[in-house]
Parts: sequence; C-alpha cells; structure tokens
Amino acid sequence: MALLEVDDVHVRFGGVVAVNGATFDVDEGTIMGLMGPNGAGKTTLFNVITGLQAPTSGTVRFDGKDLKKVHPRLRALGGIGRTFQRLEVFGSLTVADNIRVAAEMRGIENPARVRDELLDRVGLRAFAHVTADSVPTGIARLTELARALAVSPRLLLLDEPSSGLSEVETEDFAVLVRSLAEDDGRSVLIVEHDVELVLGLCSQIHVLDFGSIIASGTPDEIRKDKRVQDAYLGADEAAAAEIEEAV
Amino acid sequence: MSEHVNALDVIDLTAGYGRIQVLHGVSFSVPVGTIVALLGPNGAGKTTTLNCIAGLIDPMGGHVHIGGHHLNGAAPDRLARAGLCTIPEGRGIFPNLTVAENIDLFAFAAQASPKEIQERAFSQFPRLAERRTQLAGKLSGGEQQMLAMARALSSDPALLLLDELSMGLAPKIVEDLYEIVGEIGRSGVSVLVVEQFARRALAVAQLGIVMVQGRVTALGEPADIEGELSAAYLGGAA
Amino acid sequence: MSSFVSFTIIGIVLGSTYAIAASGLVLTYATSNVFNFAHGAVGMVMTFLYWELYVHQGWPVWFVLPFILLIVAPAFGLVMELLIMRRLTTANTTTQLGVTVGLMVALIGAGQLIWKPGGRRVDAFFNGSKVSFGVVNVTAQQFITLGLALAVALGLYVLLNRTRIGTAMRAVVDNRELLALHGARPNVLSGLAWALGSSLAALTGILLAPQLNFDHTTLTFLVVSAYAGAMVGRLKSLPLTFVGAIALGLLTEYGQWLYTELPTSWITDSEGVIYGLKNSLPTIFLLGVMLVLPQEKLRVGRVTGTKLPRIPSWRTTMLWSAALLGGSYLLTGAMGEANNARFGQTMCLPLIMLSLVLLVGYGGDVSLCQLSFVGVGALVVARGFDIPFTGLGFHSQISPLSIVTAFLLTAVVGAIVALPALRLRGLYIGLGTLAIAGAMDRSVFESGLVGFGAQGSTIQVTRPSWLSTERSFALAVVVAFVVTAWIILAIRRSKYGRILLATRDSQAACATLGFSTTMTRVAVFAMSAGLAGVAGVFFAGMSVTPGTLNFYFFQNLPLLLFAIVFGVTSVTGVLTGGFVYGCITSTFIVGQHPDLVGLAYIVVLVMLRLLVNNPNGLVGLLFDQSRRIMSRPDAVSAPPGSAAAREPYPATAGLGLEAPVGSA
Repeated sequence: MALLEVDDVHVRFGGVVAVNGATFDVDEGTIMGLMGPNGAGKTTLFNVITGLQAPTSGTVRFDGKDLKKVHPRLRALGGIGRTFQRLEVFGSLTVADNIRVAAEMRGIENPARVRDELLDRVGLRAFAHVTADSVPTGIARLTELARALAVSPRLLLLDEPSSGLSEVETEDFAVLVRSLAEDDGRSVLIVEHDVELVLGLCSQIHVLDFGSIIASGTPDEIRKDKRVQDAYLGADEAAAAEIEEAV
Repeated sequence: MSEHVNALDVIDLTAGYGRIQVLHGVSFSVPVGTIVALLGPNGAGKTTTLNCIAGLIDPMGGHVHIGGHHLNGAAPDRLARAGLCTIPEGRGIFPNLTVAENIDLFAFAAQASPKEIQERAFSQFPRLAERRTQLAGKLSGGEQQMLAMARALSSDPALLLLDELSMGLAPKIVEDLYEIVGEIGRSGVSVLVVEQFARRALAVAQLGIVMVQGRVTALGEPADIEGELSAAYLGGAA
Repeated sequence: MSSFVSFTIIGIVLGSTYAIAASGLVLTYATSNVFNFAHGAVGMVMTFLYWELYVHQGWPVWFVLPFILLIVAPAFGLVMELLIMRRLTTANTTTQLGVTVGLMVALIGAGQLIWKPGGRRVDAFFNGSKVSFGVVNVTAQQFITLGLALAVALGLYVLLNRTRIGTAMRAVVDNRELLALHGARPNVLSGLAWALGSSLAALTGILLAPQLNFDHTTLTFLVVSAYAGAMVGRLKSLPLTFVGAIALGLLTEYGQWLYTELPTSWITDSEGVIYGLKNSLPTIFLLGVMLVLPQEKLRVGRVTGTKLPRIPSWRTTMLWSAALLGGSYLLTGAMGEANNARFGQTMCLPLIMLSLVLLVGYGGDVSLCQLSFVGVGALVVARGFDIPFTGLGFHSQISPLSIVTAFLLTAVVGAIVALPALRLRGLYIGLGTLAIAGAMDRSVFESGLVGFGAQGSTIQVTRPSWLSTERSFALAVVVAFVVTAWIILAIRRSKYGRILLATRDSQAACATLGFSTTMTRVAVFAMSAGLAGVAGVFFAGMSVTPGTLNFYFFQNLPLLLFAIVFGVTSVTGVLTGGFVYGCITSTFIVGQHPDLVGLAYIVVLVMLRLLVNNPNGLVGLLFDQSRRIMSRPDAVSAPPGSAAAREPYPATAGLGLEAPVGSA
C-alpha cells in the first residue's frame, strides 16, 4: 500500500478549475516529482494534501486513512511535513531557533541536539544566529526544510525548494534530499519547475497541466514524452487536439 | 523621423525586489504595429520586465521609452490614460464586480463613450453579453480572460502588454485568445506578449525574445530562436 | 403604550444618526482598508467648529452648515488621506490602530486646546418645535435627522451602484494596481472617500449635538456605537450597516424604556448593575456581533515576522535594573512626599504597559482592555477576598497573598476574555476587547455591588506598615517593574518565548508542524492579564483610593498608543512610553498645567509619522541607530551566500546530476 494516495482530486475556484482529477500515489521511501508549467495546479494540490485547501471532490488517503475533514495540525501530527513556495519562516527568530522551536512545539526530547544535527545536515551552520527574515531566499528555504525535518515527518512535501538556490547549493540540496529517502526512509513529494533537478532526483514523475496529470513515468520516459515537451513549450495544433481528447 | 520611432524601447533595464536583483540589463524594442513575444522559463524575469514598463515597479536602472517618450517613473494610471493597456498575469478583472461594471471601468482610459465600449465588447464576445449581470469572479477561466481582453479591444491602445495570457487555461481557449491577439495586431496595435508556452505565442508573433535568468539570450524571428528556446526551457534535454 | 411608540421613534432616529456615522466608516474602510478610530474625533472637531461659528460668532445657519459639511470637513478628509491614510493602506493592524488612535487623541487634544471644556449647548433645529401625531410628538430635529439619513442612504447607494466613480471606489479595495492599469486614479478615489467620510462624521456630530453632553469625549466616543453598526455589515455592506445601526438604536432605546418600566426597588437593590447593563448595551451589541462573525481562515503566503530588538544579555539587564533602582532611590530621596506620590503613580504606567510587551510585542495580538485587567487587580485588593475554610483572606490590604490572588484571578478573567477573542484577529480583536472594556466599565466597575461604585471611590486600600510612606511605596512600584521585566525577559529567552514569536510569525507554519496555536494564545492572554492584575494591586496601593475613572475604557487607547509609539516590543520601550504617558496624564503636568495635555497629544501625533515605518517604535529606532554606531563584530552575521563559509553536507554518494542547472 502506498503511503499517500491522491484519488481523483478536483479543486475549483469560482469558475476556474485549478486541479482537475489528479490521481497518483507516493510509496514509502521514494522521491516523487510533480512537474508542470506555471498555474498547472501544483501548489493547490499541495494545499489539498496538507489540509490548507479543501478539495471540491476526490479523496486523499495517508497511510490508508481518509484525510477528509482532518485538520492540518492533525495531518502534521500524523507525519506530513511541508515547506512553502511563498516562504513561511518564523521571521523574528534566528535560523537555529526556527529549527529548535519546531522540536519544542512537539515536545521532542533534547531540542538543542535536534537543532545542532539539522544545522549541520542541512548546511546552515554559518547562518545559525542570523534572524530568518534577513537571510537570502535560498537559505530561508533550507531553514524551512530543516524546520520540517525537526519533527521527523514520514512524508515531506517540498514546494519549489530550489528557487533562490545557487547552482552549488542546488547540487548539495539534491544530495540531501536523496539521503532523506535512502538513509532515513522518508517519502518525499517535490514540486519543482527546475526540470533538470526533478529529472535527476526523482524515481517517479507526474506531469501536471491544466490541473490534470498528462504524463507519468521514470525520468527517462518523461524526457522522451512528446506531450511533456508540448506542455512546456506549447503544443502545435495536432498535439493540442490530442491533449484535448486526453482531457 | 517619426516612422523610425518604436512603440517601445527598453534600454539596459535593471530591476529587483529588495536586495534580490532580477533583471540584469535587459534591452529590446517593439516596432510599431508588430506583435513581439517575450519568452522564457519560470523566474526568467519576464513579468518583472513587464511591470517595469507598466509603471508598477520602479526600475533600479535603465530606460523605458514608449512611443519615443522617456517614461521612467510615470504612474501606471498616467501611462494607461496615455494609451498603454496592460493586462496583468492571472486575469485582469475585478471578481467582485459584475461583468457590466467591469466593462464600465474601461472608460477611464478609453477615448470612446461608455456605450460604444460596451457595444464593442459585447459584439466581440457575445458570451459576456449573456452574463453581463453576473459577478466576474463566477465566470469560467476562459470567460474571465475574455473579459480582460475586452479592455484591450475597446480602448484602442497604442501599446498592449499581455502577461501569461494562457495561465491555467485549456488549449482550445488559449488558441481562441491568441487568434484575438493576432487580430488586435493586424489592426495596427503594437503588442508585447509575455508567455511561457512559447509556440502558441510565436504562432502569432513576428518577433520573439528569449529571456533566461534576467538576461536576453536570443532575439529574432520565430524560426531563428527555436533552438535557443528548447535549451532555455529544458536545459538541453529536449 | 404611547411611551413604547415614542421610544421606537427615538430609537429609529438614534439609529439613523448611527447609520450616518457607520456608513462613513464603511466607505473609508472599503476604499482604503484603514479602520479609522478617529472617525468620531473628526465629527467632534467639526461639531465644535459648528458651535463656534453658529452659536458663538452668530453666523447664519444656512451658511455655516454647508460651509462645514461641504467645504471644511471634506477638505479635512482629503488632508488626512494625503498625509496619513495613504501610507497606512498596506501597514499591519497594530500600526494602523496606533496611528488612527493617535490621530484621535491628537484631535481631542487640539479640541481641548482651542475650546476649553464646559458650558456649551446647541439648540435643536427650529428651536425644538414639534408635530403631534395623536399620542406622540415628533420634533423637527427628529424629522430632519430621519430625512438626512434616508438621503445619505439613497445618495451613497446611487453613488456606489449607479456611477462609474462609485464602481471604481468598490474596485479600488479589490485591486488598487489593476484599477490604476485601467487608467483610474486610485489616490483621487480614496481621497474622495475620505472627504465624504469626514463630511458624514461632521453631520453625525452636528445632528447629535443638541441631545448630548456637549463635550470632547462624549462626541468622540459615540462612534463606538457606529463601530457596532458597521460591524453588522462586516465593514463592507452598506445596507446591512444601516440595518445594524437602526437595530442598535432601537435596542438602546428599548433598554431605556424597559429601565423606566422596572420597579424602582430592583434598580436600587442592584446597586448600579442594571443601570450599568442598560448603558453598556451598545458595547454588548458590538461584542455579540463580533462573536457571530465567521472565523478567519489560516492565511498562507504573507510576509512574516518583524525584526525585534535583540534580547539584552543578563549582564546588561542587571546593570540597567540596578541603575533604575538606584536612580529612583536617589530621586525619591531628593523630592518631597507629594512629588514622590506623583512619581509612584507615574511609574505605575510602565508597570502596566509591561503586560502589553508579552501580548502585543511578542504575541502580535492586540488588547484594548488591558486597563480592565488592571482594574480587576485593583478591585481584588480593594474589596478583599476570603479563601474559604482556611481562615486566610485580606480586606483592602496589600500583601503577598493579595498580589498572588490578584494575579490568579485576573489571569482567569484574561483566559475567559481570550476565549471569544481567539476567533478574531487584528482589527476585530482590537474592537472586541474594546467592547469588553466598555462593558466591564459600566456593568462591573461602576456597580456598587461588585465594583468601586459610580460616584468616586469610597474604598481605602491599606499599605503594609513598612511601605506606608509615599517614597517607600513608590520604590516598591519600581521594584515591581524590575521584577516583572525580569519575568518577561526570562519568558522571551525560554522555549515559550520562541513558541510565542513563532505563533505570531506564521500560524500556517505552526499548523503544518502539528502545533495548535490556540493554547498559546489563551496562555499569553492569561499571563498578560495576570501581570496587569498585579500592576493593578500596586496601582491601588499607590493611589490609595482607586476608582472607576482610573480604568475608564477609552484610556486603553492612549495606553496602547504610547506603548506602540515608544516600542511595545522592548522593556525599554514601555518604560519610556509609560513614563511619558504617566507624566502627561497623572501628575506633573495635569496638576499644574492642564493646557499642556492637548499639546502633548499633538506632539505624539508628530512622532507617529516615524512609527509608520518602524514597528519597534521610537526606542527601536534608537536601538538601530546605536547598533549602527557601535556595531560589534559578534553582532554581524556571516556574509550571505558565502558558499565557502558553509560546512559540507554529510554527503552520501556522488552527485546525481550530470549538468548544472540552466544553460545560460
């Protein structure tokens, strides 16, 4: 059984369809990627999974349990952690305290040790004593990641984690995420527009366009998929008709 | 002299948010009566460029000339009354006003009478006439974008800026919308369209500009920039 | 029966005036997102101007009315928009609250400077002539009020729904930028809204003037009733606002009617409770409306956190504490007993404000009922308390037991207040707590049964014998300040301080970490109330005869204002803010130079301009400056983005990516 099952989720805002029947699974200990152009519904889908947005229809199951009407806080207690595309760091705390306070909120033993371990693991030592609202975006993103890790989630949702990271930082980041899955056995669902990062990192990828999943597969399959190229570059007439049928 | 004047000249534009610089010296022109597509992946700085032109953010450096006039620092409403029509990303409509009220607001920038504007909008988009008393927020995504486009049609602008026309819309609707963009272009309006779906925009544009990470990396006719485009979007993988 | 009909008519007329005031509030809020606490104060100033020109100077009414309503008031609104409100549209709630309250206080100050309090009246229109309808008489004034309310309702409806300017006014709040892209001038539109709003405030004041005590504060605070009406329309809908205002007018008058119909013995037996309840109907109504408002959703994707002043080291704290205690010791030694009493009373205000640091500074909530908590603390010690079966108790006696009891009881009151307030955020929590303070005033403090009684206080508080002199008790207040400051700084340094700041910065992030912010907010409300209660004990001891007037609900507004202006995020901020406020109100100036109060308030307004860009207040500004001058190496952070400074990840396998990102 998959850890996370998203089944036929629809979300509408007024007359606008943001997610249109998304269906996919995330298995334990794997890195799953969600790609798609701007406005394809990726972040909305994340909000549905974490409970910040109620779906118009469809179900989300975590560890076999239906999450309908489960408060975001209880989902987090069940083991779903996330980072935000538009940052939600605790801006008036230092980077180190951002991590520590997360452990403290959950009553985890020895929060200072959790903080020290994660500062090293995520590579935030140099920024430990800087307040989070004055660090560069990339560092703030890593701070959110470390904060999420402080409460040991089973499933980690990363929303556009690489934007604001330099090339070197992105490489380091990829190594870290891989270690989260391989060494810790966590599942990671990653939304990213940096195609190269997703293709290099994930074992399984779903491509979202107009709120629907238009392609799924391994990085190699995705690379070769004509429809993915069309989704990113815009389809020619024939392909457009094809997608029309698929939708 | 006047025939050499471009509808828009952007010269060595730099801009950013706070300490993060997004544009590193962007230069290009939109000749009078042409449709120019500004393309590039997410985060390339396309929208920032557009917002600088529209007067929504102040550039850090460089110049913007519209119709030959130096217009750095002009307020967006002044630019709008001077004939610049900007349709921002994510549907340029007021969701809590009705369709008719939205159209009524077009008259602030247009020379035509309110009645004329409404007639033009409704004849171009009969669907909007049917829903004139509905709240604009209750329209479908395509209809909302039509309503936004109706402003461009009715106000007869000197320069039209379109940002991410296709965002979140089905292909068929995007196709229809681009047909209208083509029509607007043929009527003599200069258009700068920002788009991440490159091929759709290039189908109607006479010129394309590719931006990557705040810089222009290619500029030319659609056929000439195809190669650069693939590299910009898929990192050479395509 | 006839009395019921006449109360109905009076109620509708009263509701109509509320409606005019409330629609002005809604209009300005809807177009600029700024809730104007000074709305009533604008009306007050315009009403005084009306009195000045019409009654005092004897100008003809047909000239004075249009002159004020169509020229002076709108011009005043335009200037307000241009100088202040325009800058506030994107500011946070605390700043908005601080600035508009500051404007209100300054207007009251200016009003008192120009027109000395006392002895004014304005006659009703047409000298109060009446038309008789069988059993009831309707005055010309009432007819005119009704007619004007109808005209305002109709006029606003036509403006907003039938004209393009009106449509644009509704659009400007949705998306100011987009409206500018349409070619409309957003600043002109909000200027127009503020001009209209200001004119409506003036109209309300002028209509109400003949029926009221003609003084600065009564006119200013009538607007609380308008808040309630505006809240029914959720600060958006004008029709609902009118319905709410009329309902409130009727409720108020029916309350009055019921009161006159009740047996007199009930009223005397209740020792003011029933009378207080009747008078607090508008605030109870406001509170009720706040409680049925739909709960706010978690907001995602906003700028989070404001940088707070750095926590001082224990050593610094120690030094400053010693300096404060030593300085006070020397100062009180040099002054006489009368001045020592004034000094002690002044120092009570920083002590009270300390409780705001926790709630407002760290927690990001707003409380406009902090003085009520102080009052509860004072009440506990003044009326005494017996602990059942233990034989322990105290009556009007300051003792460790009374301090602990005051802390615990006020903390419980704070937690109870927090429960309804938790559903609210920002502006609404401000209005909600203000309503609570108003209700407490009239139904608790003024009552002789449980409170201080309406006519001054008769209860004397006794100090312990070793603190009987003014000097010794003033020093005790300073010690209490130091101890409370240490407690607050200890909280700030602890896990609870971190959690408090985290809760303030991002509720959404807290939720996704599995943390419930509800308990934190209740706890901080209770703790802050408890500390205010302890301050109340010292306040009672210092003033010896505490009374209702000390805790009058609207004094919460300048209290919070001074805390915000000087810096509610730091102990130093509230020490200076409280001291300055204390000097202005309680002692040095009021005693000798009452004229200076108004001037001082105006000076505060000038300082507010600085605040708009600095959430840490004047003291925060000083901190920043001094840090820039004496920047020490340990205060400087690592250079951002320096890859070399970062330690390597405990890397596992080789990099999984073939090519670096992007191909530029």
